Amino acid sequence: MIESLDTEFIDMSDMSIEAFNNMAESAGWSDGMPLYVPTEEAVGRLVETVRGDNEPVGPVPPRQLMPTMQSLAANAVMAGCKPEYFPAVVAALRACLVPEYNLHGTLATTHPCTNMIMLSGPVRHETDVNCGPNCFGQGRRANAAIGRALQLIMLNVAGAQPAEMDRATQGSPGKYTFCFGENEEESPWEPYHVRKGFDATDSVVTTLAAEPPHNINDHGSNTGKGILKTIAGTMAQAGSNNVYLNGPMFVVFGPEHAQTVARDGFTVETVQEFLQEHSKVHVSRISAENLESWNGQDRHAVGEHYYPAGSPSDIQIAVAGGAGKHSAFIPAFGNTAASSMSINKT
Amino acid sequence: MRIVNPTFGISAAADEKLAVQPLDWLNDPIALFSNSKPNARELMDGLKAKLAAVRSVDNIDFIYKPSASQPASAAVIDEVAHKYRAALLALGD
Amino acid sequence: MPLVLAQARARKLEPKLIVVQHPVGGLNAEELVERIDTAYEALSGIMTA
Repeated sequence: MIESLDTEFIDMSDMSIEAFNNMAESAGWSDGMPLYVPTEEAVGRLVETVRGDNEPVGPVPPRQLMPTMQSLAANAVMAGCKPEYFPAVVAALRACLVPEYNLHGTLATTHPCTNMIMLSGPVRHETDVNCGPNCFGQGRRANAAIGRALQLIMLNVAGAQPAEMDRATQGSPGKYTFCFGENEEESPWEPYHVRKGFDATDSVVTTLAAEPPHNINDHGSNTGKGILKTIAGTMAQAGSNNVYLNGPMFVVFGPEHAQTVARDGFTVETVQEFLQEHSKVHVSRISAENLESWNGQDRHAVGEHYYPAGSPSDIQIAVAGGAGKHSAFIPAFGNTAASSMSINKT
Repeated sequence: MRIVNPTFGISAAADEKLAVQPLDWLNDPIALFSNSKPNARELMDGLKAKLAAVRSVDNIDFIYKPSASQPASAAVIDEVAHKYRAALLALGD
Repeated sequence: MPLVLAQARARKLEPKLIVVQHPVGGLNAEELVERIDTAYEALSGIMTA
């Protein structure tokens, strides 16, 4: 292992790519998949895209280090980022650093949460991130590399080494990468970032300490109310963090579901209200030991129910994906916030 | 070939280690700090009872985070640092 | 334990650690007494050092 924490640059002489990867793996820099080599030249090309961005980033918990743009870009290069992806990576990290996000807790927890990234606005086209069919899946470099870059930063800058700082009991595949774009073009509602107060022409990244997407299959319902009932039923989980900690969560509608729901007169606000009311979990579905434990933490049922969302506005609504009658529920860590950050470009 | 170190950063904490003041375990105020995980409170209560048997001063206080999944606030940490000479922390799960 | 050490060292502190056995499936009264006794024995060592 290279003892190099105090050195920004490391001379590797004529090391092969294979040898670099072996070294990176033993140094703890790797997520287990092959890495690109973060040469000074490659890193420089990414740093050039944020040249005028002089706002310090960090400190990043739990290690509490202030990274340089070079060290952040080194992780982005290793992840396979093209230069034009890098401003979104930096913005995603900044979104994770707002105090309400609770990055320390989300990285150190036994819960399997990872850092979900959603891109909104023009950056989607500039990076060619997948907003359509298979948007949570494989096949597009921007989705793979932007999400992976943030996770490598969590590993190497934040210090979230699995089984050491990252105490996840099982983790999740989303810890490799979890990045997608909003399908604004097929959404019946305003884009997510516009509803959060940004201009439609702003490029915005939104992060959430999230579980991977839970599929919601509804091929039978032909009404908005029917589809929403199925979604609410999927949200009503006795074993999720949200059920007793509340906090934000995402419902990502497939475009077909969204269009049917909107056709029947639902706005984003009335969707949130419907889902809040119908996703409640009756106390009879909670174990007696959990009820005792939660009561001891002053987390009491409302009447005879627990509500996954503390209020309707905690249910974040977006549209992504392609043709088909599927949507996704993305539960979160609980004590965290969905965090949106404008992407600085120079 | 030179590469950029992906772990590089500047420490946000001061360089020097904090000096630990001498401590009188039998008289100085002690904070019992729980991370709010199951049994942390019970373990700390047990320690408090055993400490009380050898101490003549009743100045051990129990402090806990509002939730196991949130860090203690800076205000709480500052208060503990100013008010107590030692802190016993219950950590883990 | 690695998490606790790393967090403390990030703040330039060297904590004194007392480790009791992890309770799988919860603690009964007898097991809790054993954890308290173990913790206090180690604490006594620190207090008299």
